[in-house]
Amino acid sequence: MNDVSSTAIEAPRVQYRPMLEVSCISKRFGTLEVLRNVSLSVGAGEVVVVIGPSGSGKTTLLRCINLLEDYEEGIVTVDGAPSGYRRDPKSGRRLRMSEREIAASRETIGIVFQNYNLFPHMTVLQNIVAAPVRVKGVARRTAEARARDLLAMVGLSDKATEYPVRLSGGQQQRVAIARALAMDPKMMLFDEVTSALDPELVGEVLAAMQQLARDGMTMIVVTHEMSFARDIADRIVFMDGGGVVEEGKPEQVFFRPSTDRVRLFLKRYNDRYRI
Amino acid sequence: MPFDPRFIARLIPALLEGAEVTVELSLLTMAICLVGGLPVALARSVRGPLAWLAGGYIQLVRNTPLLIQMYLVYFGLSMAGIPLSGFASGLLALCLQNCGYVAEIYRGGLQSVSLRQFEAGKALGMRRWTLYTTVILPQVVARVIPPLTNQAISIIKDTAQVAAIAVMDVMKVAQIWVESSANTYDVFLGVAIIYLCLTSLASLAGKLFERRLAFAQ
Amino acid sequence: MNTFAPLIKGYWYLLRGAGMTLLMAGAAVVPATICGILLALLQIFGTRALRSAVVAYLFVMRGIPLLVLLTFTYYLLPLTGIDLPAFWGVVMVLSLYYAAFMSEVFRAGILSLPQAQWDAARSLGMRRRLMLQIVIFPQALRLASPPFVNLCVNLIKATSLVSIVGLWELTMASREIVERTLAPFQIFLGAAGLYFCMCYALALYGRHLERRVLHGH
Repeated sequence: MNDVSSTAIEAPRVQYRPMLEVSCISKRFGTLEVLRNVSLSVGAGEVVVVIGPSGSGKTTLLRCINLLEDYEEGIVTVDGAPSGYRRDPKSGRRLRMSEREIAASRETIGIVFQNYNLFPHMTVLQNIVAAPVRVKGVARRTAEARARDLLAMVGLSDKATEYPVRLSGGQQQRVAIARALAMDPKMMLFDEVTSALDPELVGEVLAAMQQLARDGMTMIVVTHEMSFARDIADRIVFMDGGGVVEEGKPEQVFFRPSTDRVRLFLKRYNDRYRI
Repeated sequence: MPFDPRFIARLIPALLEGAEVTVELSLLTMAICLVGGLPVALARSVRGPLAWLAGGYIQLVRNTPLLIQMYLVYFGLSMAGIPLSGFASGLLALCLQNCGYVAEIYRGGLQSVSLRQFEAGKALGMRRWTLYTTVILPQVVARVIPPLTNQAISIIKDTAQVAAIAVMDVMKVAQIWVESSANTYDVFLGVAIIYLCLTSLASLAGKLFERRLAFAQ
Repeated sequence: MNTFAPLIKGYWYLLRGAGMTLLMAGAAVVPATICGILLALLQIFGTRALRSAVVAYLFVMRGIPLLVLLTFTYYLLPLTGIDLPAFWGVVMVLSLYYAAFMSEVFRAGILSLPQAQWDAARSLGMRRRLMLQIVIFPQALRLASPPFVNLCVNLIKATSLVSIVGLWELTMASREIVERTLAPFQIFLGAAGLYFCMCYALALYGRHLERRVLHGH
């Protein structure tokens, strides 16, 4: 079933079906509108970086994409298939998918959190193989071999039998990336993954993410690291107050922003960090 | 045979008389232990043989059943020449045990107040007395109220064991009535309701205290 | 030590009583734990009706004394026609009673896990049963183990109450010897000593677990 998207806000630069299609998501916490009619389209292999002030809804957007949060309006489509909510073809109503379907769609989306969230009672290797073995039914030996490959990719081959408590923040975060990758997701979400790290540990995590981008993974990255955003992004999305304010290529958004809000945000950022 | 109104009419006053004893015992125990727990908690906090003694006392009463403690006091003391009534024995045993628990609650409350509060107060130049009365103690009070409420409920339930040493509390009255009549069900319901009322009252009192005295966290 | 002769003579009998105490407590611990976990899960994941039922059950079990439950089960159970040996009757009551307290301990353990653990498990595609099995329970049970051991200590002490309804264990054994030898002080002290050994050993293990939990795993 080919549903080539035609509702993207900007004409997609990719000709084929977008990997992720977020259509008009809205979410309220009580009376507070956290997301207002947000739409986003991400092509396969594209790296989209979302920036903006705190409270702009960036993290909520990520959490809605893989349904860690419910949202009142809107549909998310991953590689053509709805994820979380679907539209009933007969009545046109928006229905929540079953828990089984939701869990299945979560397998296609990998997410790395700000606070690593490794399982403290399992070793690094066990953390990585737990989901592939128990959720996807991969044979343990296959899963462990794959896990070791992933650990090598993030530079932590020697830590396979350690417990998370013995690793630094940066190391734990890289394990978290490997754990998410072990499920062979179609795309990866990164929620401020370096914000909780000591500055000297940030680099190793960013390097791992760079490698992923080079290997062609579709990524949505929420971050405060502006220079990293400039380096890695194919497209920058600026959010504020629950909505997308501006988006475009990095050179355009960072050096020739077309809205004042973005200009103000970047100015404040430059003043603080002397970029 | 259950719900025989004439039976219930005779049962209720008897149970209430027993409940009086239960309430008396509980309130006395609580009052004595609230006060008595303090020196024990203090003894535990200072270094030296006193802390070891207090600690040993607490371990002793925590790791032996209340019933054995009651038997020891009631039968043991009378053998040693100090015959105490059932009520007094029960009260003594209850107090000995619960002073230990209350002391631990006090100690836990004091320890749980963050060290930072001490440091902040000292940094502001407070002397020890002011520091304790205006910063530390209010927070300790707030934190010990919930566990103390639980302890009060526990005390109310433990008073039932004095029935074993012939004290006419509500449990003993119930025992007598059950043995002498066929109407077990009504007696059970009556006793259960009385205890539920008492423990619920204690719980409510605790929440009220919490709201009025707790201004920290 | 002439005064302690009765204790020395009856020591073996008391030891057997202690064995029965451990047997009773051991038999009650398993169903209590299983029911406790079930009740905790029902409270967290159950429908509103189920949750209300559990809350009501907890209210009753925590509001009335164990002695009341023991006494009335002793009298009421034969009336319902169920022919259960007395031992299993009291084990059942002990289990049902302590299941209530254990459920609170397990519930606290589960709820104290950071939301982040649930998020991570869900985001990897795990469904509820798998999540509970390999992520939530291992951590929650570890956290709950110190208060759990504390409840086990209380369970051992609670077995003393079954002597009031006539079942044989350490307290009943000591009463029997006291009736024969009229030496309550020594005998009850001996019984207290045995209880102390059992409970203190368990309490020490609980403190060991507490230290392990505090220092991360």
